[in-house]
Amino acid sequence: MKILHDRNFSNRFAVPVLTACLILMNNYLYAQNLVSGKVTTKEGEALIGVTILEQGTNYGVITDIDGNFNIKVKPDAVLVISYVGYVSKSIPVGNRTDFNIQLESDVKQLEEIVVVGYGTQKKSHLTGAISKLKNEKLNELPFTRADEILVGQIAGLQVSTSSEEGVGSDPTLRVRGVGSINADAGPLLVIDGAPVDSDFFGNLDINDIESYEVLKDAASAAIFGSRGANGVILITTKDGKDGPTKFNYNGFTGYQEAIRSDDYDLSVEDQIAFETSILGEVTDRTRFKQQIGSVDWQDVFFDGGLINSHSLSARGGNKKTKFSTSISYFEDEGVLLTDNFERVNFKAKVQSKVSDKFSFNLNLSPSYSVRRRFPDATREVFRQEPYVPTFHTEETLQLVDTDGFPDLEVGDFVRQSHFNNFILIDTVFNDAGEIIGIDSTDLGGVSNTNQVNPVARATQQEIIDKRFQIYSSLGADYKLNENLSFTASFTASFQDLLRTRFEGLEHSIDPSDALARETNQSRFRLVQNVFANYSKSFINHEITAVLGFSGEQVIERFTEFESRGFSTDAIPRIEGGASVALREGFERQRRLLSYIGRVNYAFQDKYLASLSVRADGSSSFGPNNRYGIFPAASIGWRISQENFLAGSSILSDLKLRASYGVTGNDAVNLPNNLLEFNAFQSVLESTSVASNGGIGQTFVAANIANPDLQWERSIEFNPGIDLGLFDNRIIASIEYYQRTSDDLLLNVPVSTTTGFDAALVNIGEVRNEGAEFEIRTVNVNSGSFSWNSTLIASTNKNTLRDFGDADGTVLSPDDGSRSGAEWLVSVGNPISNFYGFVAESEIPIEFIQRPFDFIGGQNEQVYVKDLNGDGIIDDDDRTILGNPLPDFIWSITNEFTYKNFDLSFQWQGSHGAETRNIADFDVFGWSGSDLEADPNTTPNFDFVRPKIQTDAIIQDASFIALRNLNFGYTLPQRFLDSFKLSSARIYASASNLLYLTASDFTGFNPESIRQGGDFNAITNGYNRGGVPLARRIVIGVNINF
Amino acid sequence: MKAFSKILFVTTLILTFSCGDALEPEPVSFVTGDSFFSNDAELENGVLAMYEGLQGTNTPQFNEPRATQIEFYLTEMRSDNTQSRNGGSLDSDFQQFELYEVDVQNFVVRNYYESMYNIIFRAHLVLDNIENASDRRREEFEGQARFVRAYSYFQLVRLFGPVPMPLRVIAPEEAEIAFTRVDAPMVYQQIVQDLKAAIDNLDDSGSRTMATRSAAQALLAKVYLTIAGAENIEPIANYDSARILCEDIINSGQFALMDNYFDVFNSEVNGREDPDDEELAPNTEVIFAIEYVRNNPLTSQNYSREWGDFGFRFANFTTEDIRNAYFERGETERVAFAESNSPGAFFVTKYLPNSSILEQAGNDWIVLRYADVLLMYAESILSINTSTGDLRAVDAYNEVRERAGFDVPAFAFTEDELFEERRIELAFENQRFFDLLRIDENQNSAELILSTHSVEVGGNFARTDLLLPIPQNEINLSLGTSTILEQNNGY
Repeated sequence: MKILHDRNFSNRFAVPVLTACLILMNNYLYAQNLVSGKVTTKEGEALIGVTILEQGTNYGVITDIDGNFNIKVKPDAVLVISYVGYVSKSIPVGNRTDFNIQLESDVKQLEEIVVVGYGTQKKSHLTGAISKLKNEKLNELPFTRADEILVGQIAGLQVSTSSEEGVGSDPTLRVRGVGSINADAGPLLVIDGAPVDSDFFGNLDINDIESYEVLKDAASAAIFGSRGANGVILITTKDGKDGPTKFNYNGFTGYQEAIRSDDYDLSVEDQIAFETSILGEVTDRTRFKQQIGSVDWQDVFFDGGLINSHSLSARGGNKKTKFSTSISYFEDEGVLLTDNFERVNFKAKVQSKVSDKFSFNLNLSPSYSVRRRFPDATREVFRQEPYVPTFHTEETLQLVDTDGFPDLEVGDFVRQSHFNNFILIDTVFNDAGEIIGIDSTDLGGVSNTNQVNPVARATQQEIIDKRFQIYSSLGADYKLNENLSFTASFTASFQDLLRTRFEGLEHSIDPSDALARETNQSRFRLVQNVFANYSKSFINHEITAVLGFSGEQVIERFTEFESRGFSTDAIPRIEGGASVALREGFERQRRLLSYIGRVNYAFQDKYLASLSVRADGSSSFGPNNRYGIFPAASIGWRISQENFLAGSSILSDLKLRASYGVTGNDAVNLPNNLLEFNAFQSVLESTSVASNGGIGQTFVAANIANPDLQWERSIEFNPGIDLGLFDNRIIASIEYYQRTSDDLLLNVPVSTTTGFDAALVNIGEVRNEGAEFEIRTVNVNSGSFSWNSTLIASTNKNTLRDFGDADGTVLSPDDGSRSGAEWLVSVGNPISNFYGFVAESEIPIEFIQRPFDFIGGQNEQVYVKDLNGDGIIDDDDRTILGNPLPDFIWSITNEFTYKNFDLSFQWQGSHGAETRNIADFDVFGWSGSDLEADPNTTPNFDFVRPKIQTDAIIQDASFIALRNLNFGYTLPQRFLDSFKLSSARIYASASNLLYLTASDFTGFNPESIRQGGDFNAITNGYNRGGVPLARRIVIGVNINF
Repeated sequence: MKAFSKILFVTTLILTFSCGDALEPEPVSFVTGDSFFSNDAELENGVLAMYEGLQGTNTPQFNEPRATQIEFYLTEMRSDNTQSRNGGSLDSDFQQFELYEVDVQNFVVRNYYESMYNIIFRAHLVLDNIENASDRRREEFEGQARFVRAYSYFQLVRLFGPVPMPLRVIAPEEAEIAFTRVDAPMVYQQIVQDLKAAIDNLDDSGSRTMATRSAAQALLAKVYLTIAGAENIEPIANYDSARILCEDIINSGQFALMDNYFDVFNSEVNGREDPDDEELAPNTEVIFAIEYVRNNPLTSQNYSREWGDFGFRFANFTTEDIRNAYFERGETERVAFAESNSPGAFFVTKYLPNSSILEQAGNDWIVLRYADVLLMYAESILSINTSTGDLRAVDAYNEVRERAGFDVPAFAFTEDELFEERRIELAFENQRFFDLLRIDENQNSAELILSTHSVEVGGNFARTDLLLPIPQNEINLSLGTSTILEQNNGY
């Protein structure tokens, strides 16, 4: 119990003295009754911190941890019992001395608690930009990963299915745009208070998640210091609750198929129609191909698959100990020919109160997943024309070049070159239809590629990731008194990833290229937190503060072996080969020492302020800049609490707020992984050298040391408004942000006379600015029918503001046969810009050499515009052709309930991004065929350029998707009782039921963007065909018992 | 319970703060360079690192220094000996060389330039720390490092002309050194100094895959011939200096021609390919070679695969011109090409992969061999004359021809005959382009030979194509500094 206001010194030491004084001074000395009571919810749960105020005075108390209070008041007093989120009550005291008060929750201002970094906060007191997403029915949607499911759920968070590896691989997450070039631009992941590797997203069971909180602005994320710059995603897992053990089973099963591309539907039949329309007949080449076969590559490679999920949990406990356990199995066959994903999760979470002051908690969640990835790129598949069958048959063998390939048999993989040099023999008829002879034509080379059959490339190669992860933590809370508590925790997260790769004898033309590779990566992360938490409430003041220390250590080990010399595919592992042909390895460590402090203050529940600071020391940075300071400040004004707005029938909530903070990013990506942690010092790596007839060992310098190296820095300003209208039936928030990131970690080119071509320095500046809009409405809420809507929208504008001497650099990352696609680094424009010529018009088919050589082939060149009008086409006629960053992303969710039925669906869209769809290069036969204009006959040949260098393959990446849909039926109570169930729901849900892309987009998935290698933030947007999106439909049950 | 919780907190605090150097973990997988090269063992390691640099990285990509493994593009493919199987193409950085249309952005050129300076950097790590060597080993390390530096600058100055010439480790800020092109005679002067020091500091006890006294002598002889023949600086004196060095090597009796011509390329310099092989008689002809060990991605090379039908680029196929030269001369022992799967194309049969993994070949790359020295000796005696009957020269010339199956000795030879002999004897060994630079301009000059050749392969040779372009990115980098790096004429 706590006496408020002018009696607030009443703690156990001061009570006797002060009470004596007060007795003498207090006006209420006479005729006062000691009144006591307990405040609970309707459900009987004790409410802590409820204000009990004597009406008309500033005198009052608040309830203790068990909801109890004592107060001395006159009998004619009226007690006002108020608590945020609940309807206040006024109760005349009279002669009663004992009160049992139940407060009803206030629907219109249900006080939400939001998890913030190292603590929680009332939503009404938030002054930063934090979005909360509770897992209500997310676990019923057919998504594979806990990050994928966030698509369209949170304003300012962009989730793209970008990977080319197929099911289970990581999507690209961006909070408020891209603020980094060479470093990770993805948010930091924090599970139950401890930072973990973002890989943990892949192995989480969505059923275990209670809520997601996304810290978007720098003021909220600055508490994570040198890793906060890309935003932070906090995941809180489910706790057990006081009461009888509740069991839950949630499971679904269903089917998925790929969302195909009509533009890439090429067929021999269409080619015949095309040739007939132009030539009036079919070319010999195509007639020959027609005899070989007809294949729909999208059918072959996009084979669809099953998806199954089963999760069983038991949660419960008593006053002292609560537990939450679960086990789950998830299986997803993906939509591609070879991809597959399976996952098993366990979880045990226990909280136990040892005494009133001391409690501890334990959290263990191991998981294991096996992912077989699609080992190839879809563009390689579609290089093959649709006449190429997978296997030889008796019929196809008749058409084979037996001189070149004398040993082919039925069942062998077909290769295009098998059909070269065929002599096509035609019977010649006269007008009367009588045979008058034969006509033979040597077709020469009909193949456009030397590659093996794409099915062989995919199935005779196996890349499997086996990932074991465990998250384990042990924590303790010690409550010194009402105001001050300490927490300490150790969190160890460990992951072991074994990747095996096997390329079988038939994977390559030359069987001696068969190989097995084994890559092992283990990562251990230990986080130790020690915190003091202080909170104190007065009538007008509320202070919460944390002060703490965090130490973190990451130890990572990587090894890779390759063996060669396979005579059979029988043992597709390194032990099956004759000799070890490669060894790689490294071990690296990073340590972080952090000092963290934050104070939140609220005055009269109206004026809010928050200050925080974190000092991070990192082992990855130079001695000159080893420590960094990341401060943040934010303020808020709850105007709706002011008297002049009290009682407004329209405005139920209004808060203005503004935040400012500094965050950092230390996750630099370098081709050399050792340097990522050690680039500040000179690194000499061991390597092999041929020496004296054997293999010797030597050290080779890997970098130019930079002792000044430090993190990238982001400074963000974020004003915002939270608004509630009509008893909060409409809730809206609007954010504006401007985040300026500088000191970017860049590997800048240096003169090679130094011995190196690049050095890692802090240089450059990028700005992201934009607005976010979120509105939730209760459209209808009658007894049996309700309809809620949510609209989320965000804009982002990205500008490169400084890039040192490299401004104006043109980059062409994919050297080799597809070279020519260029990006421009340009200050004043977005971070990534497609660069090249502007296509003017197609070249008429009569000037194309061999236009019918490739089924579905299109001309690979185009006339381009003379932009500067000087009469010639040269490099000066290139311009910026677009950028891969969306300007506007949005989603609209509608939820309906009618009696026991409910339906929700979400539309989601993205607009303003372009993609460079390089898949056209392969699908339309620009690779390896002669679909080029004839330089001798084509008019204005000087104005002809390959389409790959122009905007002809720059396509609108916008899309609108019916992202998810969930239709459910909750079984009525009378039915449940007979099965002893407490609730049961059956549902059907779907994802990507509709997926609409821009009319000029020819590919499968506009979000599937090449990542890694030479492709980073400045050379972004390269679509190589990628992986199509999955359209999934499942049915499921969700039972509590 | 209180006691327990106190223990927990104290433990936490101790664990947390006990690590005094918490932010400086001990390196595990690397050594930190700041304190390295402090004793003989570490300097010896630095010497090996230079050779690792010369060996280059075996990868199809161009983001790591490929060094010797791509040298043929810059040399043989720019001579009248080879071309790509499918002909030149302006669009392909690999096929620009035979057309003499090398772009300033060409990534093969850039990679080689980068490789050479990386090797020079490695030599400087040794030279800058040479005072840490013991008296016993100091001369050896210095000789090794100066030989490698001289070799790298010799390649650079012949390919690019005047080049920046750092003589110690430099930092990125040192623009004046990085971007000032030092005149070719000055570069040659430095090379001569380095090689003289190497001759003084080295003996002949070491492996032929590292610098030895003879290797330094042979290389210096070639440098003198180049100064005399290509730079036309004090030719008579420089030819004579070359003669003395060649004589020294010949008289040392350490080297002899292999009886069978192809044994030169098929016998490994160190007598065996991997440690498991039984030791064979070492190759008596090689004076200096860059070593490779097969079936290991880190120690092998891939040019052996690239040159053949199994390569990815179909590069370094023979020209019709050189095949005709073989036929016209009636060559039997030295015919080093065979017909490809692609009819009409002929690939080089020197250095065919000796490995089971084709792109991980172990064939050593021969830089200097005795036949070359014999012909250099003949060249040095021929000096500025157009022909010679000097017995010393003719004997050396005949020794090479005799092994090739030409039993009838010549009594004299002309400059043309000598260089034609070199062309065949050293075909596809990256010598031809550099030889052409030395051919007397009044005779059948390099310009004439390359113009004729370029017309045959559809190229467009101009005199300025004798030098490669300085990589454009180097020039771009210099633009923001006080020293502007200048491009070669014609680019």
